[in-house]
Amino acid sequence: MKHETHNLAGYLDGSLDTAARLRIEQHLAVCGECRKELDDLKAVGQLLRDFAASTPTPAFDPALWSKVRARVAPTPRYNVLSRWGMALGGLTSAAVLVLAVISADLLHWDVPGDEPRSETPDMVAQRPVSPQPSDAGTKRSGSPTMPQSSPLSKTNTQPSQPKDSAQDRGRSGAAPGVSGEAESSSRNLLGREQGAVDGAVAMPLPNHDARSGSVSATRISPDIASEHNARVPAMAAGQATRPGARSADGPLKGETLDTVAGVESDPPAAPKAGALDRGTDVTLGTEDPASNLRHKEHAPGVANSLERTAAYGMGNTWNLEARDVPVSSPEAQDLVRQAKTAFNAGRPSGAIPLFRAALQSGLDRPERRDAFLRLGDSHMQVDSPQDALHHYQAALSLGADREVWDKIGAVYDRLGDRNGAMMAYRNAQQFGMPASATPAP
Amino acid sequence: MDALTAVFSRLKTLNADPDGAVIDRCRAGDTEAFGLLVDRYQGMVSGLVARTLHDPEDTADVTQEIFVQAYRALNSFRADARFSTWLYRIALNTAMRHAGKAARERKHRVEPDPDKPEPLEQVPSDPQLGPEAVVWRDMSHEVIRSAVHALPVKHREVVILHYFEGKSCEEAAEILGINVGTVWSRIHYAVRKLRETLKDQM
Repeated sequence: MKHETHNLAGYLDGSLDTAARLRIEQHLAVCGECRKELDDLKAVGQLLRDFAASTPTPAFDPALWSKVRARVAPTPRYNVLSRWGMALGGLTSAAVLVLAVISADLLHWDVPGDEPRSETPDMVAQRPVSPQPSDAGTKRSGSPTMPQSSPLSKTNTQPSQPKDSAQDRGRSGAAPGVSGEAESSSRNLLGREQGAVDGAVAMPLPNHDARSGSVSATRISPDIASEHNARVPAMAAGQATRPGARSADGPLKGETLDTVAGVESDPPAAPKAGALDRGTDVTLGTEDPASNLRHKEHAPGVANSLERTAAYGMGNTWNLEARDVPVSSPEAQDLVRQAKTAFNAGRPSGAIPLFRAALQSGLDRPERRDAFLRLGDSHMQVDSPQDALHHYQAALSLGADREVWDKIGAVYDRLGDRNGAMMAYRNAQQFGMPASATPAP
Repeated sequence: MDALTAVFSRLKTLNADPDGAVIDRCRAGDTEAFGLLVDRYQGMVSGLVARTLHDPEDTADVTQEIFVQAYRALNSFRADARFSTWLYRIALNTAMRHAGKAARERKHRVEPDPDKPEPLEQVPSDPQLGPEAVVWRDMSHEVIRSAVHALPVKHREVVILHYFEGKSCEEAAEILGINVGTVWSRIHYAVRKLRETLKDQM
């Protein structure tokens, strides 16, 4: 007689088909050994199930995702690609540098002197009028005698000016009139998203690219700005990852292929270098021109702050879950109310998922900004400063003011980053004294 | 007709794995979407970990580790499987590996000095049980846990899935990627060994 001991678990589990079940039942009726096996199976099974049932199940941890995210961002795929991107970017940069030097030399031999052979009206319109007209271009090309009107210099110098002009900002001191011109030019070019990005590149402005870049960026609609915001930490990382910094620190977290694909000196990609500056300024996007003017002064600080955020391991994720809608939905507003109630009742860990849900539900720009700020506050309360920084940056991307910079300063303080804290507090000070500290007239 | 087929196909996919849409978002770069999966499955994962490990204090760390591994391996997840099944596999492997490591460390732990008084252990409180019952239950738990951990890996994993996690033999087979008949057989051998170890408990 063949025993059925191996199939008894299936018999008890009910996963046998009818024929097998009937066969086992017939066998059990005549086989004491298998009946004993079945009883043991039941008894041991019951003991194990009782054990499992009496083992306490851990409580739900609302901060688990934050902890996991802190360890995983960015994705490995990102890392692999960005390493390839870095390699490609480096190779491309080197190739472009060699080409630039050769071309410059060739052109220098063909046309002695620094003046271009001919200029089209467009070139004239685009020619820098500052006291150092070819400064940025010569720096980029690596050849002090490189003619400005050569095709290479045209593509290479003008889009790359934004980066250099950030260094030159102090001495160039763009006049308000130029800024206004830049703004109107940019506005005309910003009919669509790509136009917005390419605006300053299509119409480079006299030695003012960083500023014109920022102005055009500030005119980008909130929708577009929101989309760009998702890329901003990556852009900041791109700024931070000039060859020296990158080799020292390795790939920065949050960087995208765009930032590592050699945007710094690769002519076809050079417009993205301008986009870096604009990307930074998009974070300050506002419709108020006066505010724009004020914000532009903070652009370097924003870049530093975002760069630091990338260095703290934040990915470009902080704005992805937030839905940007023109009018907040009642559900989202209700969630915000609940979240604020939880926060005010001293339950920040309860407020966090509610704020997140509200952001996912869809909030308009001011409410979204406020929700990010409060989400940051909640994370600070649960002693999660990196997450707080993450959300304060998101709030900053929707508008800078003293409050958000102060909060960012406090996070850096908590993280022990004195330089970061000083940078943030300096930016905060530029918005004036806090209302409570303003002396009475 | 093609459109109808596509709709049915999509419905079938959604029915097959309700997490498919979220995983698509993760793969498209929406890192935050993974947070939904963490919230959705942390009960399942932490429960399995708590029942598998000796030391409940390690549960939170191992649970976190499982989600980190799942996130990093997300690109290897095939859409023809259920996410929960795939996650179970990762959770089970990680928890069992950690339990094995902890067991080895316990083995090599320095014996306590007999001259030094041992610190008094606090009996955990349970509103439904008296202190004696709690101690008895914990001792009994320790014996069961040790008996299960003494099983070979392939027997231990079916015990954890079938008896601790309440999975049917077919579900256990799907998670482990083996034949259901193999699960029945492994349960038979595992129970035969446990019967010897746990006869005093029954």
